[in-house]
Amino acid sequence: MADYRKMWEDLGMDVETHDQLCAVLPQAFGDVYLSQENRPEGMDYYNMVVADIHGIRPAELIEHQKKGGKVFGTFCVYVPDEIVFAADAIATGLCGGSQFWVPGGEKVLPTNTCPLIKASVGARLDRTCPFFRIADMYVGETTCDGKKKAWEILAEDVPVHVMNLPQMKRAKDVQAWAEEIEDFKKVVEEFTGNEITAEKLAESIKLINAKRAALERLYETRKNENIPISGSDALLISQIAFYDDPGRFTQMTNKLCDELEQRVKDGVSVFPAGTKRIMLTGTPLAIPNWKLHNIVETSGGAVVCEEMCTGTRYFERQTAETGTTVKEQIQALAERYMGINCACFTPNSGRVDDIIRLAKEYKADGIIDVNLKFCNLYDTEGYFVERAMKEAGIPVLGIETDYTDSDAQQLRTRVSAFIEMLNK
Amino acid sequence: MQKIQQYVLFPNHDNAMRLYKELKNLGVRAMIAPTPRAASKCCGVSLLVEEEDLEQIQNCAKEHGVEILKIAAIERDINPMRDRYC
Repeated sequence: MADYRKMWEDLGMDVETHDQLCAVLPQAFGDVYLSQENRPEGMDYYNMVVADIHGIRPAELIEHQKKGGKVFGTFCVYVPDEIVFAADAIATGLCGGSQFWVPGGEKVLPTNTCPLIKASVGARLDRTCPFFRIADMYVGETTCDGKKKAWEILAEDVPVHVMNLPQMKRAKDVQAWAEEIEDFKKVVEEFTGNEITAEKLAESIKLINAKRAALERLYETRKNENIPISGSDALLISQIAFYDDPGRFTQMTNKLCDELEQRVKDGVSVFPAGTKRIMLTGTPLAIPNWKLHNIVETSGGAVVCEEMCTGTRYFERQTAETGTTVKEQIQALAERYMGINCACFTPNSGRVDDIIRLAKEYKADGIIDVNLKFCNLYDTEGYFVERAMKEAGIPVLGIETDYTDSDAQQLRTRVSAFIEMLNK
Repeated sequence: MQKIQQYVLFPNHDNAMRLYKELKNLGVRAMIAPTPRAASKCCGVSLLVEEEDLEQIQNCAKEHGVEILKIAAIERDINPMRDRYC
C-alpha cells in the first residue's frame, strides 16, 4: 500500500481530484473481478497491476526518464510500438476508459464527442492521470475526426506527433504508411537522441511479436468448449497489455496460459455447461471500462472473444522478422499494421470477414455490436456488420453506450433478453 | 450477517509480492487485491486472506522479513450486480 502522493505531486497532478478515482476503483474492481468463482491463479499478477495502476508502472517510467530515457504516449493500435522500443524509449497506452475523466474533456470538446476522446483529453488537462503527465511526447493518428481535433488541443499542452493513417488499403496506401513510419522513426530518433539500427529494430519487432503471440495463445484457450477464463479477465489482460512492460507482460501472460491450457486438459470451465458464448465487436474498451463484460457475464453469457482494438485487432498477425535492413523492416511493419481492419477505412469489408471468421473459430452463439456513443464511424459500419451477421445466421444485438452507469439497468434488460432468445 | 474479510496491508507492493510468493509456497490461500477504501485511504496492493490463516501468515511474514502495515477486517462488500463502475 505504497503512498505515491509525493510522486503524483511531483508530476504536477491534481492529487485531491485524483483521489476520487482511487476511492471508487477498489469497489468496482471487487464487484467485477473478486466476485468471480474459480479465477485462474495467474490473474493475481493482473490484480496487482490494477491495484497499483497509478503507482508501480508510473514509477518505472519515471525511473526510465531519470536515466535519460523517453516515454511516448499512444492512443491507437496502428502506432508501431516497435519504433519506440528500438530507440530505447518506452511506449505506453493513454486511452481513457473512465467517466471520471469525461467532464474534463467536455470543457474543451463538444459534448457529442466519443467518451474515449473526452476522457483522454480530460485526463491530461485536469492533471488526474500519472501516465498522461509522464509521457514526454504523445503520438496521435488520423483514425477519426474527433481525435484529429483533440491532438490540436493537446498539442498546446504537450509535444504531439500525428501519424497520417491512410483511409484506403490500396498498394499505394501501404506505401504511404511505410513513409509515415519512416517519418515517425526520424522523429523518435531526434527526440531520444538514439539511432534506430536494423539490429535494434529486429530486436523490438521480436519483443512486440512475442507479446502478440502470448495474447493469441490466451485467446486460443477461449475457443474451447470448456472456457478456462472469463471474458472480463481476458479483457483486463488486453487492457493491461497497452501499459505494462512488454517483456514482463509476455512472461506473465505465458505463465497464465500454462495454467489455462492445463485447465483445458482437465476440462475446467469458469462457466456452467451450456452458457451462451457471446462475441463482442466494435469500439475499444479502454481500462477501466468493464461494464458490458460484467453485464453479459452476470446475465447468463460468457464473452469468448472481442473483435476490438482491445482484442483481436491488437494481436492478430505477426510482423515478418525476415527483414535485414531498416527499409525492409519498416515495409514489414507497414504491411502488418495496414492489415488491421478499422472502421476508419473505406471500404472495410475485411472487418466483416474477420467477424464471421472469429464467430466460427470461437463458436459464438451470438454477437453484440457495441459502440461508444458518438463514434460515427463504427456506428455507421454497424449497418454492414449487423446485416452480414443476419445473412450468416448469427444472432446480433446492436448496443450504443458510454462510460456512465446510467444505462446499466437498460443494458441488463437488453442483454438478458438477447441471451434468453439464444437459449430458445 | 455479512462475511468479514481480512486484508493484509503493506508499506509497498514489494513486501506484498514477497509475502504472496511465500504463502503460495506454503499453500496458504491469498489473493492480490486493491486495498479497499474502508481499510485505507491510499491506493495499493493488499492481500485478501482467510481469518483462520492469519497466525500462519504473520509468522511467515516475520520469518521472511516482510513488513506488514496492518491487517484490516472488512465486511465483505462485493456485488457484481451493483453496476457501479468507475
